[in-house]
Amino acid sequence: MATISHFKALQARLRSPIEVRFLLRRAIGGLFSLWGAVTIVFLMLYATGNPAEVLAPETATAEQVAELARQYGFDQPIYLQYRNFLVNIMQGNFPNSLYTGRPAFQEVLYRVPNTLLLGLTAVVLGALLGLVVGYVSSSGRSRIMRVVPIRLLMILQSVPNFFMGLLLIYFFSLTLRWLPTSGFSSWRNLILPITTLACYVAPNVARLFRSTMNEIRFEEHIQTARAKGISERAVRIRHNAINALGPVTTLIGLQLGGVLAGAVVVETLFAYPGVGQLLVQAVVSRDYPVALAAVILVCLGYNIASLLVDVLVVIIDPRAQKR
Amino acid sequence: MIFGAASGSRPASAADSGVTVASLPLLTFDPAFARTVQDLSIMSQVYSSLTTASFVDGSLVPNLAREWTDVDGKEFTFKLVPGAKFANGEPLDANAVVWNFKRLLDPATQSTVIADFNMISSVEAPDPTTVVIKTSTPWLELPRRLSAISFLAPEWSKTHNPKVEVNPSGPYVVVNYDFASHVTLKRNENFFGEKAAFENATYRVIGNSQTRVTSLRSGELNFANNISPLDVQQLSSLQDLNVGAIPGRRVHVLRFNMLRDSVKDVRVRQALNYAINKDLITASIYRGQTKAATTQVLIPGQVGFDETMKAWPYDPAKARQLLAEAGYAKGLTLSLGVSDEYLQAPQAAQAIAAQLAEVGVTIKLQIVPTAIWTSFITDAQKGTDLLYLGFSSTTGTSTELMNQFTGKGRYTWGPSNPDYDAAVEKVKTATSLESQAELIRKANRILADDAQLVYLWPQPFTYAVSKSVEWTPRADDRPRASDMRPAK
Repeated sequence: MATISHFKALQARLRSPIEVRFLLRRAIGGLFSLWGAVTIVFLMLYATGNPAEVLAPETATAEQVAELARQYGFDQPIYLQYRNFLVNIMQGNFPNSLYTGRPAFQEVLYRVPNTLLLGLTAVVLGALLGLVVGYVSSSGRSRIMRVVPIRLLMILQSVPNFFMGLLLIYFFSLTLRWLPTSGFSSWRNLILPITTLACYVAPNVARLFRSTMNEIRFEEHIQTARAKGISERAVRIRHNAINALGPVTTLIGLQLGGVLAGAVVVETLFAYPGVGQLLVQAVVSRDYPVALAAVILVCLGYNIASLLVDVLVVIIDPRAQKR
Repeated sequence: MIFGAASGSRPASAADSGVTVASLPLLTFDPAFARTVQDLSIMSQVYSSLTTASFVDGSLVPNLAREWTDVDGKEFTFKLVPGAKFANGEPLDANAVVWNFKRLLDPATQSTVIADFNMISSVEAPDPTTVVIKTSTPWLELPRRLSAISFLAPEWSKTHNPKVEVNPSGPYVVVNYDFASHVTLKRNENFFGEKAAFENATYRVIGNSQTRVTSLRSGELNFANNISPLDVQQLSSLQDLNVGAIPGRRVHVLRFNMLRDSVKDVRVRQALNYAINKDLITASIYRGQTKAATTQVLIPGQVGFDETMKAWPYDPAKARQLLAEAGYAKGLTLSLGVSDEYLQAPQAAQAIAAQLAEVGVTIKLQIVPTAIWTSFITDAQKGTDLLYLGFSSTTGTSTELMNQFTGKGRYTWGPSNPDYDAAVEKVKTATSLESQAELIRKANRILADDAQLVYLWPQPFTYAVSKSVEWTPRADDRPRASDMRPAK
């Protein structure tokens, strides 16, 4: 009997804490959000102007624009265009870019590595900075340590990332001439846009980490750890900080979404060839297949990141999947 | 991929690294789909067209066609440069030109280059260096329109996607590109015409105007245009840049929504023309980089430009009197739609609103985001009473512009002036340039007498270019590296 119970305990320990039902629920939710995003963007793209108006040269007459719209099928009622679009997707025929003739997903995927490089690096660096500052502001020995770093980050948070980018360009590119202002020809081009985005991530992480650490500091399990005689430093790191990571992990996942959205602005400002810049260009030029493909990929990326974060949170705290 | 002078640590020197030019995002290399200034600019450097516009004064000069003649404006004979070739060795002869026209006119191509080409009745190649184009009606502007039509290699096109691949025949070849970030060009040593002065040219895609300015200041660019008038002033203080502006080809106007009763009375339309002090706005908002437009949507150099037509005089007293006569002595409220699609337009529109308020016209300003501007300006029923627009033609022909103010115009809201419509139709079928110019002047006077537009100013073409580069400003907005040369 003892052997059987021992085996069951071992099996329970080895079993993943993630339930299939939980993953399924999240995947279905993700699909719905994907469909919703595509539908909204599709409708908005069409509601904000017939693509033929943009495709035609500006000196084309009304009649010539109407003829172009007929050729491309843009003259059909919007619900029919939407239905055709969905049917084509179901059949695996996603339309090609109107300008390059290449598959729209290929156009977007080509730029995904650039955006991931920018976004993920910014999130990682921003999160690390946020965690350090959050920890210091909660557990710093002196009042200066507890107050100054986080206040500085708060100031950064209050600067819009567009303006922050301009400030960095002014200082590092124009005044010091250390870094290029824009483009993507070497790793040096990455420093300013990554810093701009990281400045958006770090303050949020720092604030939540500090408040969560402060919140659970006097909870019973922390007091128990102290009562066991563990050093104060070990209590803060192993019990206080680690337990405060749950909500912060969720936030970092959400920040990834924010960074992807922020990348639209930052990539435009720094003339960085990523998905954000492509999306802006596709919307302006009404290259709707590329715009939709970009939205689908961004949405998919956001959902996957969100799912991974949920899984991570459950691993950190298995009670989360019951909520 | 290393850009010409993108170090950021020292000013760009055009002499040792070629020239680096700012560009807006590029869309395609295919001549059947190119319509933006930036696409046409690149295309005109990697491909050849029969004719081209001179970078000196915009006049039409030979390119692939050495010379051309016409019979009654209906039959054009182009004599081509013998021995011209594409980079892959394929001949660029009359047969290649004929094939390109067939492709362009074939509905299956779904070309978006729409320019009355249905008037072409046949394109033939009697011998390898002669192309004969016949039109169904006289079309004197055809040689100029053809300056925007570049040619592909027929055999090569069967196995390549011309939207993203290039088999060049122009002064430059494409070394590498990414539409979102850059196009790197290298001089085509086998080009049949005059060789480009710079061996290398890099077009860097910088959509944001602020970034263009900072890149200029840091020395990463040798050339940029579309700079705000305020930045032009600030950049002028930099020693290594030549900065300036010329009146561009795009003319800003206010158009009336003729579905609205309040603007159907010509006296109201005239009053608005009298009430706006164009000189004050061009001096302040445009920092003197342009001047008031004459009462025609043409600029000097275009066929039919009338030297005798002057700017509409500023006379607020006359404006008040006309409004009173039209029954609006106690005031009139009009809505005005504007977007930043056109340089400084929202700021100018606010100044216009303030000036009109002084004569009793209250303007309700609607500043529309660029992304929905296209939709906004195509709905006359829901549209504003007035619309702030800028008009330009791709090749500089007068009728392309004039068409826009007839009943056929995309942004003609409500009925147009039938006399003007008839006059423009006559312009199109003129058989000599002299008679066409006279007909254009006549048509423009009809439009002005009926005050169908509020004439504002030509949009300034603003630019900044390194002193190491010699370049003559051109009104058509096309910054071409092949027009640039190292400064002496």
